[in-house]
Amino acid sequence: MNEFGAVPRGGDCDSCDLNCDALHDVLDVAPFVTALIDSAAGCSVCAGDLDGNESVDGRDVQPFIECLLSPTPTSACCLDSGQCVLEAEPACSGVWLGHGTMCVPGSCAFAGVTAYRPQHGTGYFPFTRTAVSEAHEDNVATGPGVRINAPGDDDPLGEDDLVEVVVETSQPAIALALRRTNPALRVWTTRTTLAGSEIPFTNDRTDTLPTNGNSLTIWVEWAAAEQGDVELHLEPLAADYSLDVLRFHTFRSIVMALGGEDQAPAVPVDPNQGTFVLAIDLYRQGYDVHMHDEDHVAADGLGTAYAEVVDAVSHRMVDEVSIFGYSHGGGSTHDLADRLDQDRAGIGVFEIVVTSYVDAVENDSDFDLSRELRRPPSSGYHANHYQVGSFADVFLDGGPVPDSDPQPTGRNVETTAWGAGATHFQVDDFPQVRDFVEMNLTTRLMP
Amino acid sequence: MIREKTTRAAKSPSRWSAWVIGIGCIGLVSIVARGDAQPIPIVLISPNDVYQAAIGALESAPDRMSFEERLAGLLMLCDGHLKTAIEQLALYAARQENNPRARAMVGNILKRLDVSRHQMVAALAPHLDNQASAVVEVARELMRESEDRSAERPPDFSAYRALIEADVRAGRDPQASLIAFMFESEPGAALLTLVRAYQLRDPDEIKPILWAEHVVADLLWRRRFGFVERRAVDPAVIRELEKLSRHPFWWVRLYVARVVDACPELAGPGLVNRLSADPNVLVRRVPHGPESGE
Repeated sequence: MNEFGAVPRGGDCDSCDLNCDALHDVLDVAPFVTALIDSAAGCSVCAGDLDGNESVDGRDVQPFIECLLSPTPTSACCLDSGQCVLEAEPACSGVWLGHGTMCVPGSCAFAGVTAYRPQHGTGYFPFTRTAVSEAHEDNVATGPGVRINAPGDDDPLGEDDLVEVVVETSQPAIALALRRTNPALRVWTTRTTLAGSEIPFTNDRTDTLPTNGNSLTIWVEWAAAEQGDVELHLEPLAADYSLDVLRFHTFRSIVMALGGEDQAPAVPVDPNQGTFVLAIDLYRQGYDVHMHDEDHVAADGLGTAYAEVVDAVSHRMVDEVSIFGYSHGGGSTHDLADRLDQDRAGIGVFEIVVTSYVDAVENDSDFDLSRELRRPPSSGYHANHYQVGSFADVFLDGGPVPDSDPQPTGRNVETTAWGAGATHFQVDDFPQVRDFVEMNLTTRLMP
Repeated sequence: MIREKTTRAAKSPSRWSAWVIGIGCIGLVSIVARGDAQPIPIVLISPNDVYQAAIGALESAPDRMSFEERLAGLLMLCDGHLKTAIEQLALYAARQENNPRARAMVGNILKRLDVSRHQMVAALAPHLDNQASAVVEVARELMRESEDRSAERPPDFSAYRALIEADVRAGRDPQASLIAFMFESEPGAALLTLVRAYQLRDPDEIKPILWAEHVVADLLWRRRFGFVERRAVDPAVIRELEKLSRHPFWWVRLYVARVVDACPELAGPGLVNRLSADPNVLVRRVPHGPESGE
């Protein structure tokens, strides 16, 4: 207060708003007249004193009329419904976007979240960091999948069951929060769940997110030992509408892709390694895909690929498995399925839903040239493509396998127009082969 | 009677020379003294130009007819010299380690040679000690194939047993790297195979080893098929491993080292440190988990 006991005016005090409803309209006329006649105090210290001479008198009449005739200064205001309206700041009951902002399409969607496909070991290799597209991010099947991170889950190369999510905003001054629909979902600022890095929820909503400028990377964990799905909403802290939403689902299945001799998963993928091209395609579609060198499966089926499946079934509640491979990777597909089938009692309940060979060769060693003609034990559906070896491919070939699609024993691609004269080294690269396997896998197996 | 072979004092070079020369097709005889004074032979395959050219000619054959002609010529060359042929094929494959087509060619020739498991192992086992790591890898691959293992059956070590038994009966030290290779593959089967190959006769000597292996195998079986947790520990297993870790035969102790490497939770107090200080280098070399600091 100054020496006269008055509160200094200026700043945000609106002298034209005589009833303090944040509007300049006819409802201000009567209080103005009262103030003019009685010199009564208005609803604010500056009410009616449009010329700023600290009194309401005749010199304020003309400016008051001009004020009423000019539009009230408004800016974009996002309501709880997510709708944008023009409001003066005090009248904005939602999120006020700032002086001079306008309502244009997307005004209220000033922040968003992007989820990524699952990690592998210490990062994303042999995949690349792949964002879930806007079109899929809230789809319960093709949206972001998350591995159940229950106690006992084995991560020999480091924690990789958390899903990366990036929060981005064009309004860094506006506080943001997250809301979840299932408490199984936890959020961290570190990928390894370091102590103190968890973002807590209260009644399934966080406090202000610790954004750093325009973005924040968070890691999403599914910490319950049960299947489920959850929506994660990004909201303005001050409003109750969703800026963006991700719908996570826990993986129910695991897909194992086994390359041929001298084929190892790499970034970028070799376009002539059809098994891995297909694997990446499935990864992008939302499957929990694991690419392996065929030698990661020993002749008795043991190895890192086996360990991955066992861990998935035993600790991540996965109950559907798919395995496919080319050449020696086909032989390893058999060996892995054989081992998994043998060891069921110690692993848990699961089905080998889909398997596929492409010119499969038994894989008892790098020099094993025997055609893999055995159907993968217990496979619910098996696809088989092969060609007949010749001088051109050092007599490497697969062959007919009982009860394989196309029935009865699979397809000799050399009998087709597109595959005539194919060699062992080409058969995995035919789009027709990849499409056939992909279509039959995706129609039988949910992520 | 307990026979301890390779943990004795270092063998003399002349003794090793005699062993290496007996292999045939080996170009260089050498001895390396390791830190523990246990000599390891260095083995090489001298390239035989005739074989190497014949194999290379197959790969460059322009058409099926010339391929078959050249293959027939190579098969004739190999006739009666199977061991030489296998070694030269191994050398060729080792030199083409990044060429799957060439390796497939070698696989094809071996198939056409109709090599038995025992012939393959007899020719390649010495090359587990080959100076060239690529040759060692080829030998390991082809020998693994000879084991004919699958999820449904344990590896067949009969070819290894025959070689080791022949050495033991002749009073020679069996090839240590072959024994180590077996334990890498399947410790339980390796232990049981060696009990036979080493010609043990006294039931009182045989039974403790058999029993210990049985106790360990039983726990692993119960783990595998879900009768106990995957990392369940049985005090009886720890006791048996403890006993075997003090056994005078180095290969029995190697069994313990391999089991503990795969299942560190089965190591009793002090076991890892004792294995890490074992007089036998092959036992010492196996990583034994955190206690060993490896």
